[in-house]
Amino acid sequence: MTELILFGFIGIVLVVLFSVALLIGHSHQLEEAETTARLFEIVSLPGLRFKNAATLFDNSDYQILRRETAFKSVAWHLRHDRRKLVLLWLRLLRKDLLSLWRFRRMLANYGVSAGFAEELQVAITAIAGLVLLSCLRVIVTIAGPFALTGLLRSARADVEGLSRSCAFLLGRVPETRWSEIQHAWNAGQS
Amino acid sequence: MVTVDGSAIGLGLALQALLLWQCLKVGHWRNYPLFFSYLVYTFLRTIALVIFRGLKHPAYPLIYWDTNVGAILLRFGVAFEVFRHIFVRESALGKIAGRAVVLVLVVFAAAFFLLSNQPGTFFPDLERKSGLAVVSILAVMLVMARYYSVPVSLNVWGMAVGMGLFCSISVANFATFDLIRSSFPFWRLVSAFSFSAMMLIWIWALWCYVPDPQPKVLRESLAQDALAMWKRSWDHFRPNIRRAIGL
Repeated sequence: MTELILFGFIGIVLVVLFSVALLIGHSHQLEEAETTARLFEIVSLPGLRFKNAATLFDNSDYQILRRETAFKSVAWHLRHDRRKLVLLWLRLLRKDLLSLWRFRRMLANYGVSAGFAEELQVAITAIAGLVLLSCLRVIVTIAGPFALTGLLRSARADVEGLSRSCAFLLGRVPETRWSEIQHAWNAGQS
Repeated sequence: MVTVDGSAIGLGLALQALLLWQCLKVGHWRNYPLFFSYLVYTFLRTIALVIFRGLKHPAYPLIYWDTNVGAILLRFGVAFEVFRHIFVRESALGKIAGRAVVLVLVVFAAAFFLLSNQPGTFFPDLERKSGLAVVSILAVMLVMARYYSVPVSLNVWGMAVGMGLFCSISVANFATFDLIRSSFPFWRLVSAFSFSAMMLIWIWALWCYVPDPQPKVLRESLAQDALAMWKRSWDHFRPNIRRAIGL
């Protein structure tokens, strides 16, 4: 019963999709869309060319200004402008990613391809990249340009703190028992 | 209902005759032999069914379903016709598309094997499953052609969309038939009219012969340069983001 309903549902979805394809009609522009000259359009990748992207996320200057009461409004403006810049950079990166993806597809169309597995991997990576960039844009828009760095920094600090406390504990254990602990750990892992 | 039924069959037969005549006139039988085989088979089958139906022969249902198996097999032939006209078989893209189609078939074979004990009669079940397999292959090919910007001629595009639409309706229709048995008279009409709709699409798309666009080729050295350039940029992408956000 469930399978029949599923078949019915899939059938209706496919009818809608093929009807849409029929209504959109046969595309003629594909034939002339890609020319060899456009292959090298890829050279312009403004997002990837920008080498100092890390400074956009660096909040040290913002923190210095924020500490001073007189510069609080300047800090606010800095944060506001930085957010605009980060969003612009992310937009450029997205454009670059789409260009790279399109370029890859065009190469495959020209007969340059390593095979099915690699094409699939490229498609998955591109989709994952687009999702990541969209998530970053949402985070930056909502929480500001420094939230992500702050989050990552505090996460890293937590891990480092935990690591230090483990090291401190291990330091109190006599060296003769280290092999025993290692053995117990390995047993636990397996 | 009998009049509507007769009209549906008559319309289908007339459209098939028109398309067949056009295919012979334009020379589609040379360019698309598998497609033409399907057309000839369904035309002869419809004539035979009309005769058996007119004579009220008791073997009519048996002949209807048995001959339908041949039509189902030939639908795969039409799908293969679409494939070989979109993708050059020996090209890199042809191999990728071939593997994608094989993957689809393997997935469906496994799924159908697991669902093999589902309720319903044998022939509607066969019609549903084969229809879904054919329509999925066609959809994969059309999506891949779009994804890689492979130009598709109007003839082949119409062939694919017409068959895809007919098979999709068939999947939904035969599922409904097994779900609600009382819908049989309605199901028969939907089946006949969807076949006529496919014929209309084919007549429109195959009225003239549109040759397949020539596949693109790139000079070997240029291809290697372009690929190397792409790899360099692609490999820089993720580290760039990671470095920027301090990962």
